[in-house]
Amino acid sequence: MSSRASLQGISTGALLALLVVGSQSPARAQERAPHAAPDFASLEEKADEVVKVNLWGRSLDQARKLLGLRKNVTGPVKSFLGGLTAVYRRTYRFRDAPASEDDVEPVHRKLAEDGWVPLIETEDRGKPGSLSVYSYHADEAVAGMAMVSSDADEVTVLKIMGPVDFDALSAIGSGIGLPVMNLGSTELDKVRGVSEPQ
Amino acid sequence: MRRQDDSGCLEAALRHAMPRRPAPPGFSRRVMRVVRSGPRLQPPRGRWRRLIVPTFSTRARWTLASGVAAALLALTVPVWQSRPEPAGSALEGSERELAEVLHMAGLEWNRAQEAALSPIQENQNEF
Repeated sequence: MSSRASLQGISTGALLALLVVGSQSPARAQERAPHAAPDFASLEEKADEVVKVNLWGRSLDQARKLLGLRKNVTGPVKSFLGGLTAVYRRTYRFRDAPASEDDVEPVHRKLAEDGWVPLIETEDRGKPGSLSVYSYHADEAVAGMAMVSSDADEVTVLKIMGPVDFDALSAIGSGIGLPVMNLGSTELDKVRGVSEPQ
Repeated sequence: MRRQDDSGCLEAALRHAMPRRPAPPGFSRRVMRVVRSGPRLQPPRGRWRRLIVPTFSTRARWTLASGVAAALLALTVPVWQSRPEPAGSALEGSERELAEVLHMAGLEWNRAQEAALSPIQENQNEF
């Protein structure tokens, strides 16, 4: 009798444990959604060229260690690098059919669904394209930032997870704090051309 | 009945009987070369040894082995040298990608700030 009672107790416990795990899994999935890689199937289908960068775990550790060893890396940038947990980039390029607002709208909707808060949204009425900056908060602290820049021939989504030092980021954007590597990137030239006054 | 290997005795008897005479009918040149080359206590074991040992002399065997080794080296060294270094290149690639993404994010952040602040600055100038 006692063994049967203990068996019943074990099975009830296992059932309860399963119920608890089952009830927690959607919550966990919701918590992890902002950290997930940004993938947008509709944009990917339409784009002629897709650039994907996924840096997290070991690859990110090694990348930021190497970057931190370089000369001219300032203290704030080093601490900013040290806090990063994941870095993603998606660039969708369009040659024949330009991207419309309807193509970019799912990106903004997905970010809002995942708990990202719009920080700055800019749109120049004279020119096509827009730039939106989102932040993600956890425990009342900035735990990540995302950027969506779009124009007719390119849509770029950047996602940086970890405590974001906006001053350090601004310094990096101004060419201070990170070494000038041989970044033969057309995107950078393009962004520089837009940001620098002519 | 136990099988007995008497090939050594047969060779010794043949060697004693006809040291430098032409091969009798039925004896091939290879057999005579083996017979004349010296005493063989045991026949070579293994398929390849049975094929190679009677066919080639010791010097020829060494030459063959060194040739095979040189050929293997000649084949493997270029392949080994031309193979990419995955660890180093991957590291360099991830470092470059991280720097590029951070530069892009920094540039975009500055652009967004400028765009957000410019109307305020314009208003201040008006006052």
